[in-house]
Amino acid sequence: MIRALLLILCLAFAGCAAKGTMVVLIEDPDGSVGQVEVSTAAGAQRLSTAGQSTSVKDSSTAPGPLRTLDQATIEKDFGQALQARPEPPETFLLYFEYGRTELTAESKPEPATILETILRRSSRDVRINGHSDTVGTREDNARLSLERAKGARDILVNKGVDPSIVQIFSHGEGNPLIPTPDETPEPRNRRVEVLVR
Amino acid sequence: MTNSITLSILEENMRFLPLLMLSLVVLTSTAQAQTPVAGFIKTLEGSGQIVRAEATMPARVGDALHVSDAVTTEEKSSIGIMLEDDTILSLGPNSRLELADFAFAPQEENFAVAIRLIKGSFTYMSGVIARLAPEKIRIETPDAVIAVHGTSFLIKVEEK
Repeated sequence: MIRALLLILCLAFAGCAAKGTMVVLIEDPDGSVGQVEVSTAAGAQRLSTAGQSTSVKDSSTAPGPLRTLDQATIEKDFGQALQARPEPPETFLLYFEYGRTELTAESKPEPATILETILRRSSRDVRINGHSDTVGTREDNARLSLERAKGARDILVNKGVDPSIVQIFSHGEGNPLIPTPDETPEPRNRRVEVLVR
Repeated sequence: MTNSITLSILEENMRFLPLLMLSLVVLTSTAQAQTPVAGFIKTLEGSGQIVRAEATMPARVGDALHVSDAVTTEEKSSIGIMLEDDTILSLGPNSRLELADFAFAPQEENFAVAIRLIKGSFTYMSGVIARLAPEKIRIETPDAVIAVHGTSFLIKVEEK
């Protein structure tokens, strides 16, 4: 009731509807939709479907009621910002034969695809992140992850990737693909991630 | 205090001025090198600036961004940014964004994102930190705080 009243007051003054902050939830590139919560000292609104929006007049006023915006309205306010979004990085996963520097059969074709992607995007920013599962100490896993990342770099450089655009990182056990408790063997987490950015 | 001491040294030892200037430059560049890179400018239309400490420089594609940097765009201009955890941000025309904090060190489980959207239009697409530690993400406008649960969204801030 109070919210409805605020909206009417706002409309009564020309232009005042535009002052403040407007937040619009949109689809992720994969088509999924997350959630955001917009809050002030006076209250909060949760957005959970694509196109949903709320407007906040100022920090002492609760966020306004949920409104679903059509594509034309979104385009008018956000067209240029949407146009400026960098293409999200493309991610490739490489798995190694257990305890060896050779890629698994499934991963063997990946380096060629990675090279193609780098060329297509004219990328100058390739990240190789080594990961481990949670078996063993954090320090050992950090070292192991770095070795995996270096192994992947060597494979890519042999394929023809320019080493000067490649950076390697070790994420150790801190960024699992499949969350597990400590000391859990999980082959899917013993991976190298290659990001073409 | 430090400033006035420096000044009096300058006045008394003008012949050491080049040396002092050089050491200042070295100190400044060392300090900058120690701040890890938080992200890069990936797209640019028209013109924009990076504001770092007291300096303002024209933004270019490929420029690195550090914690405490502000990014601004002019009329009919836009900028796209990718942070180190793959968070994607973009600014529409006449916008200003401040990168108040950023940390992405999965090995040490150290994560932080604090972004202030001062004015203009923005898009945000969450990165790895939203998956690993969503509670460490803080997006603020002068009017509201936005909490993120793995998401793309748009923000418009009109100044009072």
